[in-house]
Amino acid sequence: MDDMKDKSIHFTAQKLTEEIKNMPAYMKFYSGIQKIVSSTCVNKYEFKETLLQAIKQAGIETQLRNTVFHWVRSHNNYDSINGSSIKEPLAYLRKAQMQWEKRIHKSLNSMCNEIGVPLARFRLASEKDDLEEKWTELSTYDVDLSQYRPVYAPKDFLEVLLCIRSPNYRSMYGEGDWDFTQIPLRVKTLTELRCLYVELSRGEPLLGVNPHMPSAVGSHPTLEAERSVLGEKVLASSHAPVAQEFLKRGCPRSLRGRIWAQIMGSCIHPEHVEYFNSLKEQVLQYDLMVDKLILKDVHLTASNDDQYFVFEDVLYQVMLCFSRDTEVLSLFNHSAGNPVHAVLKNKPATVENTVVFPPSGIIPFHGFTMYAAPFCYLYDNPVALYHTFRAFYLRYWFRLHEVSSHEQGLLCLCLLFERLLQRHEPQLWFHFKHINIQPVRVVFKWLMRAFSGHLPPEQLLYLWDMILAYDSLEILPLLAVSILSFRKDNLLLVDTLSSVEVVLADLSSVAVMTLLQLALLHD
Amino acid sequence: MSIATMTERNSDKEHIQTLDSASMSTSVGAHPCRSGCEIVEFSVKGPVAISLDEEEFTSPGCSVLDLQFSSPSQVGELVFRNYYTASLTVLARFDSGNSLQFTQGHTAMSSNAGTSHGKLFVPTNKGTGSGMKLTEHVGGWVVVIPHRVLMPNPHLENGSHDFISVPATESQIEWKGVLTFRLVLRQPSPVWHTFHVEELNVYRDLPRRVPRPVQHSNSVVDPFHCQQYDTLLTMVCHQTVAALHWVREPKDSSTVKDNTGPCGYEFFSLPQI
Repeated sequence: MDDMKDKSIHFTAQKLTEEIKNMPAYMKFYSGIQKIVSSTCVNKYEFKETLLQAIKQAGIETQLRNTVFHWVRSHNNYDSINGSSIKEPLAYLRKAQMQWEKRIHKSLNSMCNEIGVPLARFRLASEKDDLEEKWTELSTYDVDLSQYRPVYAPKDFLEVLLCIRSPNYRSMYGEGDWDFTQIPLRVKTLTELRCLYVELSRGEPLLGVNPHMPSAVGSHPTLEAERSVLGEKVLASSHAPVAQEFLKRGCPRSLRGRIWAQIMGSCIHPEHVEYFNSLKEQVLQYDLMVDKLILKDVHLTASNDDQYFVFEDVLYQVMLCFSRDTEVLSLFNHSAGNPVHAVLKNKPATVENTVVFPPSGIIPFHGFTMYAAPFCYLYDNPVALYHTFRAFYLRYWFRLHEVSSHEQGLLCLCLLFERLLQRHEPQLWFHFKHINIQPVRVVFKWLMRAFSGHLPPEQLLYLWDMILAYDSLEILPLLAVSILSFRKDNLLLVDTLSSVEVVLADLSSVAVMTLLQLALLHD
Repeated sequence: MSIATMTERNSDKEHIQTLDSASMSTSVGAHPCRSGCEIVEFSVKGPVAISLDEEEFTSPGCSVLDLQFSSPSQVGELVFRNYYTASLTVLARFDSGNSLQFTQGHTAMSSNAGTSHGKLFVPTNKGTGSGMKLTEHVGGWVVVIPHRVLMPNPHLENGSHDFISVPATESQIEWKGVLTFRLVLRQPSPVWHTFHVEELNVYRDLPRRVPRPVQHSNSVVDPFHCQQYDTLLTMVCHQTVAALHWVREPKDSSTVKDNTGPCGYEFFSLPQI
C-alpha cells in the first residue's frame, strides 16, 4: 500500500513538474535559480546543500511552495477520473443545466432582436473616445439602458432548481413537492460541520466576535492587536497555506486585502497590470450587448446600495473587464455549465468560426455585480481588486449559479439548509409548512449572492474570511439557518411570505461570527 | 496555445476523433473505446433479477448479468457505466484447461460428496503472512472480486452514474482463459426504481499505469458536446482570442472583401437552436 502511495506521489510530482514548466512564472524561477548558482552563496563542492540553502534564503522556495499549493488546490477543486476533470456526472442534472442554458440563449436572442442591436460589433470611434475619456468615472457615461432588462434573476433560477426531479427516485407519497429532498445528494450533518469548522466549534477567541477582548497571549492589550502583529508576520512569510490558517480566526481589516491576495495567489505583478490594461483595450475596441447588461446591473444593485454606491466607478471598470477575460473560460473544464456559442458574422456556421459570447463565457444576471462589490472595501487599486475577485469567482462564485451535484454547488447548499433547518429547528420547519411557505424561498437570494448586499460589509467580510479559510461555501446555509433561528420568535408570529420577508429584511444587526459560533459550539 | 501543442494533446488522447468541419455531427451513442486496446467480444445475458419472494413489492435488490466470451480469453480490464448499482461482485468461470492453477496446494472434498462442490485452498495474491485463503468453487464459478462498492451510500445519488473500471489487478485470481463473467449487481435501497450497468466493454490489456481518461459520451444531443470536450473548449477559446485580437488591415481600394480570412469579433445574434 505504501508502495502504491509512493508511486502515486511520484506520478503527481512528474505531472506537477511538467505543468510548472508550462507556467508563465517558470522563466522567472529558472533565471532566479541561475542567478543564485552563479553567486558566491553556492559552493561547487557542496552543491546540493548550499544551493538548497540559498534558494530558501532568496524566497524562491516559498514561491515554489505557493505554486504547488495553488496547483494542488485547483486540482482538488473538482472530481477527476484518472487525473482528468469531469463535468457533471448525473445525467438529469446535465439535462436541466442544458435546458436552462437554452432558455438564456433564447432570451439573449429575443432581446437583441427586439432592440435591434447586434450582440457584438466594433465600437464606433466617437464612442470609443468618449468611453476612454470617462474610463475612471463611468457613472457619468451616458447611455440609454431603458430597453435592456436583466437576463434572469435569482428567483428564476430557483424555479428551475425546484422543478428538478431524479427520474429513478421512488419518492414516498407527498414527499418531493415541498422541498429539495427529491434530489438525494450527500450533504454534511451538523456534526460533520463541527468537525470542519473546528476553530469555531472549539470556542476559540475569534476576531469577529469581540475584537476588544483582552488578549490571552503575549503582551498585547487586545485580541485585535495580537492578531495584527501575528498577521504582519504571516504576510512577511508570504506562504499561502500559513495565511489560510491565520484567516480561520478572523483577520484585522488593515491586513485582509493582502492576506486574501496571498491565499488566492493573486498578488499583483507588472504582468497583471498589463493584462488588465489589455482587457480595458478589449472593452474599448468592441461594443457588446453584455456591456449594457452590466451597466444596468451595476446601476440597479450597487448604485442603489448605501454601502456600495461610492464604488460605482470602479465596479463598472472591473465588471466590464471581467466580461472580456477569456481566462475565465478555463472553469468550464470542470463546471457543470457550458458557455454560449456564437458564429462570426458573414461566416459559414462551422466549428472553426465558433466563438464564445461573451469572451468570459459568463452571462451576468441580476445581482452579479454584488459578487465583486465587497472587494471594493479591500483594494483601492482596480487591478488588485480585479484579480482577487476573479480568483474568488473561479474558485467559489461560479458554483452559485449552475445546476450541479457538487457538494458546494447551489443545489447542495439549498439541500444542506433544508436538512439543518428541519433537523435542528423543527418548530420553525413545521410553522413554515403550516403557513405553506417553502423555507428555501426565503433564503435563496442570500445563498445565491453569498449574502452580499444583505449583510453590512464588515460582517460580510468576516463571513467571506470563513469561506476562504475553510475553502468551503457550506458556511452560507449554516448562517442562513442561524439567522432564522435567531429571529425565530418573530417568524413564528407571522403567516405570509411578505411578512416573513419583512422580518428578515434588515440584517444589519446580525453578528455573523457570534451566530456561527453559537450554532457550532457543542451542546 | 499553439496549434502544435493542440495536436500533441490530440495524439495523447487514446481516442482520436477528427472534427468534421462540414457537419457538426457528434459521436453520441458511440461506445467509448480506446484505440490500441483490443476489445474482447462477448455476449450478454441478463440482467436477471434474483429474489426469494414470489410477489414483488419493490425491485429485488439483486440481479445477475452474464458475459459469455466466444473463446477462453485473457482479460485485462472490465469497464462500464454504472446506473444506480450500489455494489458489485464478479464471478468467473474459467476454461477447464486452467484448472491446474486451482489444484496447487491442498484439495479437500466436503462432506457433500454428491455435488461438484469442493473447497480449495488457493494462495492469495496479497502475500500477507499466512498465504492460504479459502475459495468457494461452486459449479465452476469462482469469486474473483468479492465486493466492490460503487455507491458509498446506497440511498444517495453519489456514484450512481459513475464510469467504473475494474482492472484484472483487483482480482484474486488471474483472468486467463476466462469463459464467462458473472456480475452480481446489488442495490439494497428501496428508493430506486431500477438499477443496472451500461456500456459494458472488456479489454484484453491491463489499463495503463497512469490510466488515460476514457471520456463518456453525453446522452443529451448537443452539437457542442463531444468526447473531447477539453480540446473543443480550447479550440473555441483560441478562436475567441484570435477574433478579439484581430486587427483590421488598412483598406485598399482594390481589395475584395475576403470571406475566408480571419475577422473581428462581430456577430448580430446567436445561432438558432
